[in-house]
Amino acid sequence: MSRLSLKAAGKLVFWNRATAIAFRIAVGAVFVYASIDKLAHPALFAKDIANYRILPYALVNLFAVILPWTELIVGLCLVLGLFGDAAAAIIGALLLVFIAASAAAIARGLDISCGCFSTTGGTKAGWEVIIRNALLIAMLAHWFSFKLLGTRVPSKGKQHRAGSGGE
Amino acid sequence: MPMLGGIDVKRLAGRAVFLVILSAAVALVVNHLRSERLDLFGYRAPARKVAKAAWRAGRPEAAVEQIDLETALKLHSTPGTLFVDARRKADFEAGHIANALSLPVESFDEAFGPLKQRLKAANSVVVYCSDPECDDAQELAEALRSTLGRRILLFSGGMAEWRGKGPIER
Repeated sequence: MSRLSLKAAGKLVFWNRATAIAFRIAVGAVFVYASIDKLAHPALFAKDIANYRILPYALVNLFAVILPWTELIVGLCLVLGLFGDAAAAIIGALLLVFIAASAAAIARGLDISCGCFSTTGGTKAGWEVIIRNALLIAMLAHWFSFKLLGTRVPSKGKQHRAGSGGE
Repeated sequence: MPMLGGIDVKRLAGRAVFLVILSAAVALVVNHLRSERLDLFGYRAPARKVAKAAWRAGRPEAAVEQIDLETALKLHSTPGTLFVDARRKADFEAGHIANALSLPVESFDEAFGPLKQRLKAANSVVVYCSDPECDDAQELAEALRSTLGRRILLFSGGMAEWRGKGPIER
């Protein structure tokens, strides 16, 4: 296969509107799913937050109440393509915060549950969480950059209409 | 309008702020309506924090010492020994080492006060939880060691080892 056709194949599979939208919906769905158990058990989620020993105890409950709703609402926005840019920006920021918190837990040798999807155990705060969140950021970045640049990539003499219409 | 690589930053920021405010508003209203609502600024520090505070206050002289089943059985029949159950109240009530006191580590702050004098006066204090895998006994032992400033014995085998070997009451 020639270099040109490899590039074309890569574009066909990876750099296209369907993949970008699939990534956007997948990241949104992950956030919606992540919010469910925390919405049902805010007190247990508060304990997960406190275990990171980052926030002052006085703010732990406030975060335990607000964070799951933020995850649900911005996750739904991303799935539905409603205020998608803003939702993606918030989710990206949250993912960076989660990565920083996990890195802090590793650095301090904390053996704690990450509080990602379940309030009753589950994945430990560690490298797995960092890699997963980095992957979600990459998926968001793909969607966002396709939305911005997709229209500028010429294809067969025409321009993609990527990113337009309902995103 | 401020644009950055084709992004209308002002509009994006405005929408992001709107989403955050909307989420916070919904969260606070729902929390207020819940029967088990969380006190927004009232998270209770776990026992570990109490232990840490006491450690900083300068009473690190005592230690937590692990004991095995044989020693635990001997101590149980020795007058002046106090066994302390670190599990939840419901687990304690379902069956515990005979004559043990219940001091669930999750409600250490409330439960500790009434037991303080007995814990101080005992010759030996033995802490346990369900099995070697549980952390509650270790956490409680650390909290007691630093708040009481005395040696605490940790029976790490817990109820799992005790069953069938020593007396249990409900």
